[in-house]
Amino acid sequence: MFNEREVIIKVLNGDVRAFEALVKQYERLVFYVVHRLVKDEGAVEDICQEVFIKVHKGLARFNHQSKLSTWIARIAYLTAINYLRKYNRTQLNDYPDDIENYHFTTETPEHLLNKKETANYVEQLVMQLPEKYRTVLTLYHLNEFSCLEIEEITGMPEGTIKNYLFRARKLLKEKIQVYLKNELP
Amino acid sequence: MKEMSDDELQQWLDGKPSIPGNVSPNDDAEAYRNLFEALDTEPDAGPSFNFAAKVTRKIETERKRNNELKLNIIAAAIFIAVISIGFGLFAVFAKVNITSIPYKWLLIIIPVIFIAIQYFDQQLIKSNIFKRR
Repeated sequence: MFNEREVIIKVLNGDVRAFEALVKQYERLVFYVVHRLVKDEGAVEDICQEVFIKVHKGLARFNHQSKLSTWIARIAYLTAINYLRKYNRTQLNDYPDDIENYHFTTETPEHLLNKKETANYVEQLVMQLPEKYRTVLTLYHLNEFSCLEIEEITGMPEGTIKNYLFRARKLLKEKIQVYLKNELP
Repeated sequence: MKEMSDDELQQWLDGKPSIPGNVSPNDDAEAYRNLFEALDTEPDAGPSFNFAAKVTRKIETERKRNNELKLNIIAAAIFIAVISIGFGLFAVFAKVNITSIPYKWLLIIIPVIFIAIQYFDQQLIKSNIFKRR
């Protein structure tokens, strides 16, 4: 059983094994946030490592006012955003405001009929969404954060988060309807 | 049964208690159910199996490097102090004007340059973590 407070104390006392346990506990959380934001596969693991180095350095300042997972997710989010700002400006700016008219460019459902994997199809669609929508969907569905926690992580107002969630899911639902109709015999 | 709107369907699948527990099995509901299942599914991609070990190794290396830098700074400070005291004592006992001693600033500048090189080398290594693609 992972005891957050106990592990933090051990890490602050210089216990490397305790920090390794902390990394193992949150590596998927960090990976999902970074992976969904940064499309450059080669950079994802380096950024994840950078996140945990920041966590290690900043752990003494963690004041237990939020959950450790929320605090780590915020570091992961900000590190990924900084990376995009620094190396991949287009990923942040190339999207239209009206997501309802968003045009997906990857494989059509027909091409995916062989795969029979709705999850893979949805993953591909999500990866094409604007960065803010991807973030909100990932934090809410994969990392199971509440809207309030997502507000804490990203700094977006709760209303905006709910709006992004609703619009993204509605858009994806429409795509998936077409996909399922084509897939079912 | 009354058909639910997109908003109501999403709230229902999110498990909001304000929404009734039964829903008519229409296309939208089925698509949303599939979508929520897909969104909750962990992607195939994940961190490498020894990711945690890599991170701790990196932290250990960085800690080692910081310790080395600290040692270098201490060594340089001691060097500057010894040189300064040496010059001072030499000036006092040999009754020489300290301003007339040649190359004295070089002995202070060299350790400062040495520390600066160490520092910028570290910065370069750090920035390369991000540059690697």
